Amino acid sequence: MTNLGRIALLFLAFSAGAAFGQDDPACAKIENAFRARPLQMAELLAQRDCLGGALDRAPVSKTVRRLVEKELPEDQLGEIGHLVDQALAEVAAYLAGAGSDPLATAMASELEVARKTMAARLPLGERDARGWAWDGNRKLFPAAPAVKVSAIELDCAQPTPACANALETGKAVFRAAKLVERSLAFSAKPDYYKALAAARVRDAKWHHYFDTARLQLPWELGVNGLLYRKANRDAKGFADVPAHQWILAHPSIGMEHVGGAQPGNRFQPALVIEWLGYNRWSWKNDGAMGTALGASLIHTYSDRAGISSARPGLMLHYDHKYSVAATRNSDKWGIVVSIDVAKLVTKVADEARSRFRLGGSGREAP
Amino acid sequence: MAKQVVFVVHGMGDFKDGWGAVYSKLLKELYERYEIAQFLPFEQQFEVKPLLYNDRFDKMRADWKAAADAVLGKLKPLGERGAQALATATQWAQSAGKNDFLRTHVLDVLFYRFIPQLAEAVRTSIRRQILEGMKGAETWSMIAHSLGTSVAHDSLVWMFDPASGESLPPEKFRLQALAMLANVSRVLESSENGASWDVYRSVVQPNVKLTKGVCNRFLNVRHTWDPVPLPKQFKPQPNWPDAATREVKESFQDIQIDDIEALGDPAIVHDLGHYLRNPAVHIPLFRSLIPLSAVISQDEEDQAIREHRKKTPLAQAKKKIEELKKFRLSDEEEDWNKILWMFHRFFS
Repeated sequence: MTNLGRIALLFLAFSAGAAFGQDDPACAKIENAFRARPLQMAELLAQRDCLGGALDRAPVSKTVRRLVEKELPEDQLGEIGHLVDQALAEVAAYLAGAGSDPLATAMASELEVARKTMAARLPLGERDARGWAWDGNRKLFPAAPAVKVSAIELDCAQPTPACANALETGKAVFRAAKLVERSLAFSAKPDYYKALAAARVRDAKWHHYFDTARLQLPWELGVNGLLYRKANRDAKGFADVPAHQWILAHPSIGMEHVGGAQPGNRFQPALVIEWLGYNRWSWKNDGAMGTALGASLIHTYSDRAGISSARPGLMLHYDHKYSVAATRNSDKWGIVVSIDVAKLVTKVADEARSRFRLGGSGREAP
Repeated sequence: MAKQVVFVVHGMGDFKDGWGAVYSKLLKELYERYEIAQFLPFEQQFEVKPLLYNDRFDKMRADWKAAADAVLGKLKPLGERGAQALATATQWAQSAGKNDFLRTHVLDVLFYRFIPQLAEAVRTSIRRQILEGMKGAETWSMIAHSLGTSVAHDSLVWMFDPASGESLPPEKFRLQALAMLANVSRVLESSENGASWDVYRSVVQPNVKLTKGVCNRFLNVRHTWDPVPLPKQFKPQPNWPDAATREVKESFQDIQIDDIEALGDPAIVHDLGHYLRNPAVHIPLFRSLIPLSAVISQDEEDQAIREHRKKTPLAQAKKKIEELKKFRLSDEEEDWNKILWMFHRFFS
């Protein structure tokens, strides 16, 4: 064959190579622009999903993606191992059929090591999912150090057999790596769901701590913060969400009934100051709050003719919203209820109730 | 289609839902200046997801205000009874709900550093948002700014430190790139809780070993004249990250910029957009997000930096000075021809 004929054949090989998997215009654009640089072409094709991704028409890519891009319900996560094994076997078979190029062979060997490690139920470590992502700075797949891409880092301004081979090998190796990465990432789903569930539970707890439990005014938040700081330090910064709160100098409004007061003055709003109190609850598995119980030492202040307006007492709290207290002064007993309780027995206007709620008082509607 | 999710964590300030749209647009605009966008379009490569934690601070302040509003009228008579301090404190709680710089900026930082329950609630919320946001993504990265750098650091500790009991293995889930702009994570670190939270000893670092660290690339960016990240500055010693990782080009990038885009509000040097618009920041960022040799050539970088600098007031002033220099004569000049010619050129 003449030199001219050889070059013509190489050109055809180039064109055929370019045509393979480039049905998508985005992929064709990369191939046309980077034909002279096989390594860069492979990098970009993989990054653009043309190798091992959604735009890849290669049968192995479709098969593997069908296996590992399933949305499995959480109760079927046990099937993942089997699906990943199948997917990796497909990639191994693809590499075996890619010829005897040293680069493809090296990739096949690295994959085999990973599969054996998985079969032995050992952790993959450096060969796990992220290790199969291309590192363009170091020009390697961290999980496959034996794959030396310098073999395809050629200047192919002029077509040569080595270039034609580099283009195809580069595609095969990058496609395989991407498919392995996807497969192993799929195998990480149980870890993901576990972490997500834990984060959601903890987030729910904090939500309830701030938005369901009794409102903490700045100084209460500070005092409870000091206690939590200690618990957190003991837990090396990973303490659970507190299941209690101290109440300190907390002013609010309640409805107080004083039997000895003049008629018409007996049941009326009073300022309630909880000087010291404690409220605790339990956490449910889903991060919801169990029943909360608490108690506070209080003083009430109100304007009533004929009796002292300052009345000490003890207040009990139930479920953050309901509070009842007994007060006594000048031999006159009084009963204080939070507005949420009061609404059960009086016709307090809705607006007033929301303004004067005790405890979790005065919060804006979410 | 699998994309890289790029989370953006805001800094101190008054942020609401949808705050990130402007930065998503900015990142796209910046990326599309470069040739790589023709081959790897922004929309196909990235999904920018802003994370929000300011809502927790806002709600706290609003709750305090509402509670104080309800009782303050009744508290006033207490002054006569020696409980004025409580009334004053309640008044302060009420004022926390005001929307001014002190409450929306400074108070948030104090909340985060000194109220551990709020800090933990914020970290947990961010962690949940990240985990929900990364579902289906091929990989993920994070850009954090100012207070957000500390929030990001601490949230990542929870996500990756085995001591948390809820950690993810980095070899399966590590970030591609973590960019800390105006990094205040050191001054706000809760190192009283141990090494896990010390920014130089925590897991939040790049590492060439996939089973260590949390990311492939770590960018630490500060503006020379931004005073915010200066106290207890994040300035790691040569042993951070470890020697093997330092040897890998671009695994850790310590970037210092000093261009100022515009005169006027000096706080512009702390602005997230001001950081991102600087090519000395966004080019390394894009190269870290997509670590391919074809991403932004040296020529493109040089030109972008030149273009950017040309627009800064300092560059314009320097240009003016250079122009003025052309009029200067010797301070012993007595040749009237030259003097008059200079006058003519200078005033015409």
